[in-house]
This record gives sequence, structure tokens and C-alpha cells, in this order.
Amino acid sequence: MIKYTIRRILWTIPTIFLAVTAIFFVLRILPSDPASSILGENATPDALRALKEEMGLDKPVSVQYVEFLEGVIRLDFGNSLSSGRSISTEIISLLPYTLELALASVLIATIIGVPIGIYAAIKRGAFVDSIFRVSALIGLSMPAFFLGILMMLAFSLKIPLFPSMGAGEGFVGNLYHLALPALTLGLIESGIVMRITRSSMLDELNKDYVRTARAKGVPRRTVNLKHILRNSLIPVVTVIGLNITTLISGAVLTETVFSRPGLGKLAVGAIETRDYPVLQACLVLFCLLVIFVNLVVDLSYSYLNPKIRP
Amino acid sequence: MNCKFKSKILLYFFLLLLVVLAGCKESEQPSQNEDSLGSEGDTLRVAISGEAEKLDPHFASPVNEVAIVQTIFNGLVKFPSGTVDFSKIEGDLAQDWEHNEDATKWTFFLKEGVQWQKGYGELTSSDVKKSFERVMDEETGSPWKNDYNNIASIETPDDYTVEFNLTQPDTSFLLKVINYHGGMIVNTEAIKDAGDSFMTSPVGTGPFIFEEYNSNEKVVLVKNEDYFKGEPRLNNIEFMIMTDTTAIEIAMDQGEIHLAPGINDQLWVDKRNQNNDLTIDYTNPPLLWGIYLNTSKAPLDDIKVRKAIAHAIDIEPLIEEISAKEAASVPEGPVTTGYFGAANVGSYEYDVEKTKDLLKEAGYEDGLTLPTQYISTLSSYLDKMVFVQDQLKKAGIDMPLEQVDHSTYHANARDDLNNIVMYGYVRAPHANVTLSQFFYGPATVGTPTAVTNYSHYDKVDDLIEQGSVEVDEKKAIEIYKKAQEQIKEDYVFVPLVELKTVLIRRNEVNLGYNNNDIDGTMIYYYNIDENTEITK
Repeated sequence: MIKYTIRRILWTIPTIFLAVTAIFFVLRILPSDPASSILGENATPDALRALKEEMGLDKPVSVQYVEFLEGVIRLDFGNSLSSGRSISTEIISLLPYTLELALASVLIATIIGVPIGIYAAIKRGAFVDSIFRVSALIGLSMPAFFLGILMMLAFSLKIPLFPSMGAGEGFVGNLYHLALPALTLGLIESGIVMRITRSSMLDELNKDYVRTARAKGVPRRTVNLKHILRNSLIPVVTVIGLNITTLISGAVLTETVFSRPGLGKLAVGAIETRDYPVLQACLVLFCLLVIFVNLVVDLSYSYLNPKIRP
Repeated sequence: MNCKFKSKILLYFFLLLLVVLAGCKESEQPSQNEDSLGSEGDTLRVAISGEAEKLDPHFASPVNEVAIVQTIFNGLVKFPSGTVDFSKIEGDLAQDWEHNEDATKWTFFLKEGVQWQKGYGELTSSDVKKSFERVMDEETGSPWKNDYNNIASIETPDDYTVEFNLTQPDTSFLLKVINYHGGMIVNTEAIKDAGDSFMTSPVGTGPFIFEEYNSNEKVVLVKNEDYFKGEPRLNNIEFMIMTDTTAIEIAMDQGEIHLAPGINDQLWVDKRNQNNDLTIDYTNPPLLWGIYLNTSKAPLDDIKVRKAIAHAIDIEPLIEEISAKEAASVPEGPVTTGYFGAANVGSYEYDVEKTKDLLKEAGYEDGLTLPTQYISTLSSYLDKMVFVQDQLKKAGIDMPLEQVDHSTYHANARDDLNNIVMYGYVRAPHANVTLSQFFYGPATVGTPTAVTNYSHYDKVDDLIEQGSVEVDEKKAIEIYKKAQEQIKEDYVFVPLVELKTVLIRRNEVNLGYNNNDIDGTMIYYYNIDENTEITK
């Protein structure tokens, strides 16, 4: 197991290297000149040249690349081109907003998705099952920004329960402002959770140990909730973990619609202003996050299920 | 093991969530002291459509940034809030001013007792001098540097007098020292103190003081109780960064946002008009949109071809259908309507038959295909250029387009790569500014002194130079009129449409100026000053 773990961790190094390299070069291929988009239409050629020098864009790409790699290793992404602030500080100050949104929505997705999944599995083929399955499909196919606007119209404008914008201040204000965005993302996510819970419950329902338990007179409720549920939650946990990419893209849209600060909005803003260093840092961070979560899921999976350990 | 695993996972989730939330709470704390519940009613919330990262007025360029800095800084003079009229310019930091006979020396007398924000002491003439020298300094890298090339030296005979010595006479010099871009007076001491973060640490003399920058969320200003024009009526202004237009609409309906940018679209206007709590404003000066024809390149070096193009474009649909009705109007000539010295020389009449005859005369009987033109992917540019392309096609002129990123488009236009340049702009409202940037020989693109003379046009250089030294306003207007008539005759610019900026506000906001009406603004947005308030 230890050998496998070490090997698996070492494998992430080339993965990270390739991903980071791809990010660097894809951004360099993009058309448009960051210096002129920062200084605007009225920039003088001298000012442009000075800014390019300051940004290091006058250096050969190979030199820029090596400097960039050094920065990634030290987790120092330099300063934002447009505001001049340190990108690492910026990311650290925004990370909590995105994380709390992601975690709160996972929580909501679990609270909604798991019970409904169980119920739908038990009532397989019944009318309620079809209703839940169709609703889950609608949830899955609903773009976050659209559901976000519907939620705002319903719970902010028509029934003024929650605020429609901002991040709030203080602990209570924070939660209050988090409610609608988290509900939006959580509802979308709950579709996946519900479907996975349902199908893995169904797999377990037909297993021998279930029949045995029932045969020896264990109450149906206990069989469902204790025996089956526990075994069927493993794939659910995996799917939630792997869904981090959906969460990130969802967070980008949700943050925009609800005018919340966060990494998604930082990345979108950086694209608009051609703030390469900031965009680079965001992409590297998202990449690291996905690689990290994949690693954790892989490791925990092999820990739980020795069969897949090589 | 399963049970343990499950409960562990859940526990971790909760713990992480709590830590994260606590972390957020901490980062929010500094602002909490300011927003006591009692002052909630006097916070003006303003939607801005993107990040505002450059709050140094010598760099601030997009609407988002300029809207914020205009409440923090002052210029020597200003337009009365809510208007843009050259003949009504009033004192801001200066109480009075004068110029010598040939307008080569301008003297400004500062108001006494104006205090810098954040304890930087009283404003003196040397602050003003340093501020302008900062913009003019190559090292600073301000995009507005070239506006001040005409200043030979700045002198400060005493603490409240500033003298500008100009190389060339300039009767419209006041426009260089209004509270706009390079004309805003910054405190060079405070900029030095702020070090690397000077872009987000503005210190001015204006009615509001910069308080907090919450990246990606909002910029918070608080009132400057010692403002030299009196204590502002609002306690705070919060500029909320909102990129989603539907989100802005909902927030406005709810009353969470008071001022917002509008959309130049009749459907949007009709929809928003249904809400009686809102007022839509259309502000001057309009953006003048048109195409500049490059007279140095074939086939446009032939005036017959230029004429053919000008008469092939029917601008009616552009005005009637493409934008909000109240925002669009027919341009009156090469200088935007309402600018000082703008003459109503009219736009070109639509006549396809004339175009076909002209093409025949120029030797293009079987139709003309122009070289490929670059055009920005920004919809405000692209839509209009595609419209022109469509109109030209009907008259037998093909204009292939290649879409490029917006900044590449402008860079290409400046490198003289286009034959036809689509451009829409607002400039300081004076004919001399427009003429000397777009129709003056030395401003030709591709030369060291280039500005935006995309047409390579130099036939009215004498008139522009005469105009800029003419102290008599009536004579100056006559001179500018002659220049505009000549430009029209030479077919170097085809005006398409003038578009006012659309803004929207909630009715409880009293702008506090110009009878609660915003007729004009240089910043494409609402001016907010010491008299702006929220009425209950």
C-alpha cells in the first residue's frame, strides 16, 4: 500500500508539469497584446514599450517560461498587471469565498440527494421514482447561471427572503448571503448525488447478504439504512469528490450571477483585462485542485477496495 | 470500517466548512466598524460592470474606474455637474483663472484652505505643479501624457497661483485641466507612501474618501467631512462589481442598487420603463460613430471611390432600429453635436444610383472588392461594421472583414493596416480636440506624432492651427465651420450615428445637481457629488 501511495504521488509530478506547461503556452498563443489592453486605446508607443519591459514580455518566451516554472514551484505568481497587487495574497483572500460556496453546496447536495436517492431506490419503478429521476435530470441539465437567476427572481424579488448580491459581513451575514448561491449549486449537484445513490442502492439491494438479512428477520428499515446504505455510499463519495470540476465551473457562473467575490470571478475578470499572470495563477490553482482531488480519491478508493491495488 | 469512514468524511466536511467560514469572517472585519446600522439608509449603491483596479486617475480608463475616481479627486476647473458645456466651465480647485492675449500663458488662482484627505495637509500650487509634471513624465507611463505635450513649463509664484506656459497658443486649454483623466490633481506624496499599491490607494481632495477595496466584490468610499464645498449628504458609496445584467436588474427592482449602467436597446428600455421606481437617462455628449477612409491607399485614394462608399450607406436603419430610440440621432458632421465649434454640415445623402455612377466613372463597372479590413470582435464595433458591409454590398462594393481581438484592432488601425477604420468615441467637447486628433496632418497614424488621423488627411491643417490661436470665440467658430465643410467635401469621414449613453437610476436618488437631471457627463456614468442624496 505504501509503495503504491508513493508511486501514485510521484506520478502527479509529471502530470502537474504537463498541465502547467500547457497553461503557459496556451496563454501565449492567445491573440491580443496585454500591454495595449491595459493601457487602453490612448496609450503612447513609449508607454507600451515601458509596460512590456516591466511585464517581462520583451524577453524570449523560453526565459519567460523558466521564470514562470520557478514561480509555480515557489507558489509565487508575481503581481497583477492591472492592479499591481500580489496575486498570491489576492488568491488567499478570495479562496475562502469559493471554498465555502463549494463546500456548502456539496453539503446541500448530500442532504437533498442522498435521502431522495434512497427513497427512489426503495420505490423503484413507482410513480415517485420516475418523478425524482426526471427532476434529477432537469437539475443536471440546468445551467448554473439560469437556475441562479430563477432562484433570485423567486426568493429575492417575489418572496424577499434572501439578498441577491454580495458576500455579506460577519458570520451571520456571510451565511445569509451564501444561502441562495449555495442552494443554486447544491440543487444542481444534488441531481448527480441522487442518481448515483439510487443506482448504487439498487446494486446492493439484489446482493446475497441483503436477502440473508431479510430472511433472518431483520426489519426492512434496518436493512435499508444500515446494511445497504453504508455499502452504497462509497461510490457516492467518489463521485462527489470527482465532481470538483463541475463545482469549479459552477462556482464561476454562480459567483458572476450573484455578484460574489471569489476565484471564479477573479478568473473571469482576468480574462477581460488580459491580466495574464492572474489568469495563469487561477488556471494553475484549478489544475492543482483537480489533480489533488483525483489523487485523494484514487488513494482512498484503493484503501477501501484492495482489489484495485496493483 | 464503512461506518467510521462515512462519519469521518462528514466530520471533515463540517470542520472544513467551519474553518473556512471563520476565515471569511476575519477578512471582513475591518469594514464592519464603518457600517453601523444607523447609516445604512445613506449608503448609495452603484453597480459597475467590471473590476476597477486602477484607482489612480492618471491611469484610470474604463468607465468603472473613472466613475470611482471622479468622486475622490478634483481638477482645477470642471463642468457644472450633470452638464457638458465648454462655455459654462466653472472653478473646482481654482476659484479664478486668466490667460494672456495669445493664450500661451494660463494662470490659475487656487481656493485657499482646501485639505487633502487622510491628513496630507493643505493643497498648494506646488501640489498642482507636481501632479501635472507626473502625467507629463515619460517614466510615469500615463496614457494621457500626450495631452500635455504643449506645456513648456509650470510655475508657482506663490502658494495659491499656478502658471502654465505653453509652447503653442491653446484657447481650449481649460479642457486639459478639467477634473478628467490627467487633469485630476493627485498627491504625489501619498503616491510615494503607498509604494507598489498606489493604484488602489487613492488620496484626493474630493467629497469622498477611499475606504476599502474588496477585490471582486466592491469598492467602498466614505464621505469627506472636511470637503471644501461642504459636508457630503451621503455617508458611503459602495461600487458593487456586477457583471451580470439580469442580476443588476433584479437588484435594482429590489432597491439594493441605486445607480446602474443601462443598455442601448429599445427592448430593454421598454421593459425597464414598466417599473415606475426607475428613471432612464440618456446622456451627452454622444459617441460619434463613423468610418474613416484612408486617403493614402488604393482604391480609396480616389475621391470617386470614397464618394461612392459615402453615398451607399443608408444610416436610417442604424438610427431607427439598432439602438434605443431616444439614444440615437443623425450626426451633423465630423465633430460631435454639441461640442464647442461643432457645425451642422449634415451627413451624406443615401443614393445607390449615384454610387453606381461614381463606381463606373472610377473604372469599377463590374463592382469593386476592397482589401480585407480588420474589425474588432467587440459587438459595438462589429455590428456596425457588418451593417456597413451589408449596405456596401447592395451597391456592388464587397468589403471582406477579418475579426480580431479589440486591442489588436486598435493596434492595427494605429499601425495603418486598415483602409476603413470604424471608430466611436467621446472627446473633450471642443471642435479643436476632435479636429486636431482626427483630421490634422501631424496626427496621421504611422508617424511619430500619430494620434488618430486614420484618413491621412492634411487639407485643413492651416484652419485648425488658426482656430487654436483665435481668442475671439465667434471667429473661432467660423474657422472650425470652414474646416468641417472642407472635410465633408473631401469625403474622408462618413458619420453613421450619434449614440447617447443610457443610464438608469432609482427614483429615491436625488442627484443634487442640474435639477436632478443628468444631461451630460464626461465619464459615461452618473456624476456623484457632495449634494447627491437618497430621499426617503
